[in-house]
Amino acid sequence: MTPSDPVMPAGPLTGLRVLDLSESYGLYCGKLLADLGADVIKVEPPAGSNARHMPPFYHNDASSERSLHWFHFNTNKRSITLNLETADGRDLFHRLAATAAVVIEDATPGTMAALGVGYDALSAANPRLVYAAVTAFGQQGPHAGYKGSDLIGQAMGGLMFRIGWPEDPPNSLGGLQGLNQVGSHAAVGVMLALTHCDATGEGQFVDVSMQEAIAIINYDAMSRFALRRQVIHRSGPGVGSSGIVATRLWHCKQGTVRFQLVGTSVPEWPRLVEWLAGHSMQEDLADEKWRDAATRMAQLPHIEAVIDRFFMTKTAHELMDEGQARRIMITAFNTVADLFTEPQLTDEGFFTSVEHIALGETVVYPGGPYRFSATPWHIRRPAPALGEYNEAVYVHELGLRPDDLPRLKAAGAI
Amino acid sequence: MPNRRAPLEGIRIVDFSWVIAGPLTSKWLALHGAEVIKIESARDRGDVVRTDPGPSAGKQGNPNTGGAFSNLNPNKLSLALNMQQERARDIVRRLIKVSDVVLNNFAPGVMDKWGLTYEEMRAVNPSIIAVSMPAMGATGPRRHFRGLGSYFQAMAGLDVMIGYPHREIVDMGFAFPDATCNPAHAAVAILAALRHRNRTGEGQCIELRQFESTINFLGTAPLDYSVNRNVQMRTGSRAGYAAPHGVYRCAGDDRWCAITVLSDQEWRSFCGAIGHPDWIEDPRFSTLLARKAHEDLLDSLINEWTGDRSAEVVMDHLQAHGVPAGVVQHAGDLLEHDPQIAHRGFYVTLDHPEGGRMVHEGASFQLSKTPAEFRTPAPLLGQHNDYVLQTVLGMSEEEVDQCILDQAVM
Repeated sequence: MTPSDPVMPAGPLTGLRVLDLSESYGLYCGKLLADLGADVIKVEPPAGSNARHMPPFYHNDASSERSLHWFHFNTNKRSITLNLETADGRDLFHRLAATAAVVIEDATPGTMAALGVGYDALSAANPRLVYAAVTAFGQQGPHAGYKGSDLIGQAMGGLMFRIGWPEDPPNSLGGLQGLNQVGSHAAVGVMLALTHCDATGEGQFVDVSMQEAIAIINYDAMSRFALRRQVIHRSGPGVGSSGIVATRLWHCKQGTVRFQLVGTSVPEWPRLVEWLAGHSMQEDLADEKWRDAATRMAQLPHIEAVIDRFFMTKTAHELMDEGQARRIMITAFNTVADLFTEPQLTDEGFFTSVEHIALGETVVYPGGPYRFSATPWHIRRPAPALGEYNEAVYVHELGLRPDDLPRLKAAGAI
Repeated sequence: MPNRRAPLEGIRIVDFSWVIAGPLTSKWLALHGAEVIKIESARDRGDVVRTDPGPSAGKQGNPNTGGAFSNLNPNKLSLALNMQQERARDIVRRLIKVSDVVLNNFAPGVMDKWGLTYEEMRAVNPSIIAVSMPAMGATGPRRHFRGLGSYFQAMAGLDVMIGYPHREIVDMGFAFPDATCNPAHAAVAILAALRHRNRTGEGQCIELRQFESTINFLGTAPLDYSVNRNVQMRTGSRAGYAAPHGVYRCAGDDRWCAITVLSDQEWRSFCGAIGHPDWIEDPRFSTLLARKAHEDLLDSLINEWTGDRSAEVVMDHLQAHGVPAGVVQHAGDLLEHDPQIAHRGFYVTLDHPEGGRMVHEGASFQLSKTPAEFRTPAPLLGQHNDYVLQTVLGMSEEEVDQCILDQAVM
């Protein structure tokens, strides 16, 4: 798909200009807006964002235009360089902010204001501005200056405490869940503020806390403590927050499946037996006595053993396909590799090819989180090279003269 | 605070969604001014979360006192209908005509069965925004797959990335996507579609496939596989790009502090903070590479230091020295001890007519001029039947009585 595909309708946020200064907590917010068509301008220091040095790297090459972390979080964005530590740089930023609908930043609280480019300063010239400050703990309060990270967010937000085996330390989640969660919440806040601005002409400040974004994940633990002053502890695999041993890991000839024997519904038990019987592996499970759930519960190890023997004859995907065809709830524990051959994705056009001119190849990207009928999500261009749009933005859009750029660069402003 | 108009004032949402993901989406919209009308099944005692016997269960047999239901549904209205009745479907069509958004998270086919495909909704209201949140999708070879949220989370590749490498896959105990990617993506989508409609008059149909939405929360894993054929798996709390990076045991029962040293500067600060300036130049620890090579030793030494101290002291002390550190908190810590949470007023308590004092989470995004506003507690089942039918739809009392007689309305 080429950057300017004339056939693809524009996204719903077309025409929305965003200045994105994020280094971590705000990255996913900018991505969500950019992937829906907004013009998100990544404002980087002249040496480039730190995010360009985050692993993993394309073919393990750690040079600054090879970070997959950068590629992932900055699809569709345009990059300019700008040094807020210089007066010229701040002046440029003021001029840019006057043309923008949204600013996203995730600096330590007070940093931007101290430089004279905080919300108060920018909104004076642009009262419509929506300014999102995305931090670990928020702008004010006893922990406002505390440093965070993805893991710190998962810890302080209450997510880790209850996950894993009791004899292990608390478990954390891979996949940058802290950044994903706070970035997505920031996007909701920005969109709400934009909605208000559309109706009233009034912008505002959006103060986003990663800790709180993560805290809502444990809504059930919160209610349990609020109602009963009970804490949900780590209880290993298979024990849900209700305390019932609901699931266990089922090994297969290859892989593992998610399957629930305890709580099997009345209609599902006969279907399960039929399935095993179809392979002559039901053993004694077709006996009438097993139709009673209490009887099954009382002799669970026996039933589990019969099913284990059956499951060990098939791969996780075979079991998933066969079981689901018989309307039994069962899925495979996939790795990310499995997704690339998963028919529900490949047949449905989920993956998208993006041309990376600098790499000399086309890269397959995952698709977006939603499918809009009139204004689709799509990747118009990959993450930008450092300062790739300096001329486009400064000269063609802001009105600087072409020979201003080398002067500003020499002065360290861009 | 001047009495400002809320961002979504005047926006009406017909909300068929239930359980967690859909209601959390519409909760944020309701907190910011939208009129959210929950369509609940009178026959099945409403949103299934009302009677969920899980950890947040309320009073036995009472569908109005569950903690999770209360938390997820402030400000919303409840219309209890029996959608088997044509009269009920007619009510819904009339409601759609005067609404902006229709939201559901049913399996494919349910809305269709009620005569509520997008085309049928658009015939009633051409600029309607119809949002569905099926697990797999309305089309595709797996569209009929059955399961709970946790089943599709497993299939999306998330579970293999949680926990310690020496352990098998661990069950999280709840459906993570329902409280994370799914509601946040849905809310962004709805607001983006509203913006487009306001500019062009054009509504549309949005399908958020929970499977696809979850894959968007795998971070760099998809690209890492796509270009490097590397399969990211669980790494415990370690990170390839930093050390120390993990959770450390503190004094007391099951108390831990997470510590992440993300730069050489922070390493120097950390060494000073824990009284080991000698570690700065110690060849075993002086560089990131060295620390990774001796990570087990380093972690055990750090555990010696943290083991005598409370997690809060460890956190505050390290933070005072510029080192990222945070207590591994549980719900009790968040509700009763965390001073930052308290300062921001994150938890809001409302008086519920049947549940009593109920605690709600606020929004992590605080808008300075139009913040979240808790107006009313979660609705009783069918509490707003009269309001919706008479005030919103203009029905007479006689018409309402007829609907009840027809068993279209509870």
